[in-house]
Amino acid sequence: MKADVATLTLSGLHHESDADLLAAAVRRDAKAFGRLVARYHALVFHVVWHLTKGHAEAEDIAQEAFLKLWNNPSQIREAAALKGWLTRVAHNLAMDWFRKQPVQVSADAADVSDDRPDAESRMQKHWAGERITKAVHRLPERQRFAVTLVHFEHFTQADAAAAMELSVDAFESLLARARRALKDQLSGDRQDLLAALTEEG
Amino acid sequence: MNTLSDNELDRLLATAKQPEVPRGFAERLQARLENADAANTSVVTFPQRNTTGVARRLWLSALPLAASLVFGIWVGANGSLPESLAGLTPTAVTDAADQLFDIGIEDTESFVNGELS
Repeated sequence: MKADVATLTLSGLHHESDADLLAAAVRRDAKAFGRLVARYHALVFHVVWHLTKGHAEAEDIAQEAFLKLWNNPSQIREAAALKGWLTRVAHNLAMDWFRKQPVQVSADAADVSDDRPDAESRMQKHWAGERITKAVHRLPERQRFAVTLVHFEHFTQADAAAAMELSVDAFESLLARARRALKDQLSGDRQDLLAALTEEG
Repeated sequence: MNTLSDNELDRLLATAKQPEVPRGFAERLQARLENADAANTSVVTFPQRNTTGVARRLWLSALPLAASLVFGIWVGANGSLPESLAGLTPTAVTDAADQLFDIGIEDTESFVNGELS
C-alpha cells in the first residue's frame, strides 16, 4: 500500500461519490481510500477532540477509526451511512479510551478550569471561544456529542440522530437539554461573551 | 435579564474553538495503514494438529465396548450362554466359591443355631 494518503489528503477536489470510493477501498485501492480520508478526517478528528476534551490522544483515536474502515470497508453496506458510521466509531473509540485511563476520568465531568485568561495577553474573541468550548466540554458525554454534531459539524438533526442511534424526538430532547445546560453555564458571562461577539463584528 | 437567548447561544457556539487537524495526520495514518497491511500479510498459520492417531486410539477402545454390547444383546435374545461358555453359569461360579472357602451358607446357619463354636 504505497498509496499516498498523505498527499491525497492535501490534494484538490475529488468528485467521486462515497460509494465509488468505498467500492475501490474494498478492492484495496489505497488511493481511493486516501480520498475518503481527505473527505472525512476533519470530521472524525473534531468529534474525537471534543469527546476527549482536547486530549493529545485524539489524533491516534481518530486514525484508529480510519484503520477500522480500511481493515473492513465492506462492512459499510450503504455508502450514505459512511459519515454516520465513522462518527459512531469515533465516538465508541473515544469512550473506550476514557474507560482505559489509569486514573478514571469521567467522560461526563472532567475538571475543566474556566478561569478567565489575562485580558492583556489574550484577545477577547479567543477568550470567548475557549470559554464556550470549555462549557461544551463540561456537558455530559451524550449532550456533548449532540452539540458537536449539530453545532460544530453541521449535521442535520436527523443525521445526528441516526449517528447516535436515537429517534429524532429523543435527539431533539437531548439537544434541548444540552442547550439549556450551556445557557446555565454561560449566562454568568453573558455580557462579556456578547461583547466579544460585538468586537468580532 | 442575564439568561442567554437561543439566538445568542447559536452565535456563541459559532465562535467556539475548533481544533485544527494536526499536521502530519495523513502521513502518520498512512504509516499505520501500511503497518496494518504488513501485519495482515505476515500472519503465519500454525501447522494443523495431527488428530489421526487420537482417532485411531478412540476406535480401538470403543471396539471391546461394542463387542460386549453385541454379546449382551445376543444373550438377551437367546436366553442362555453359548455352550462354549456353559462352565461360567452362575451355579458353577457358586460351586467354585464353596470349594474355595471353608464356611458356606449352611455353616452360617449352624453358627446361628449354636451348633458351631
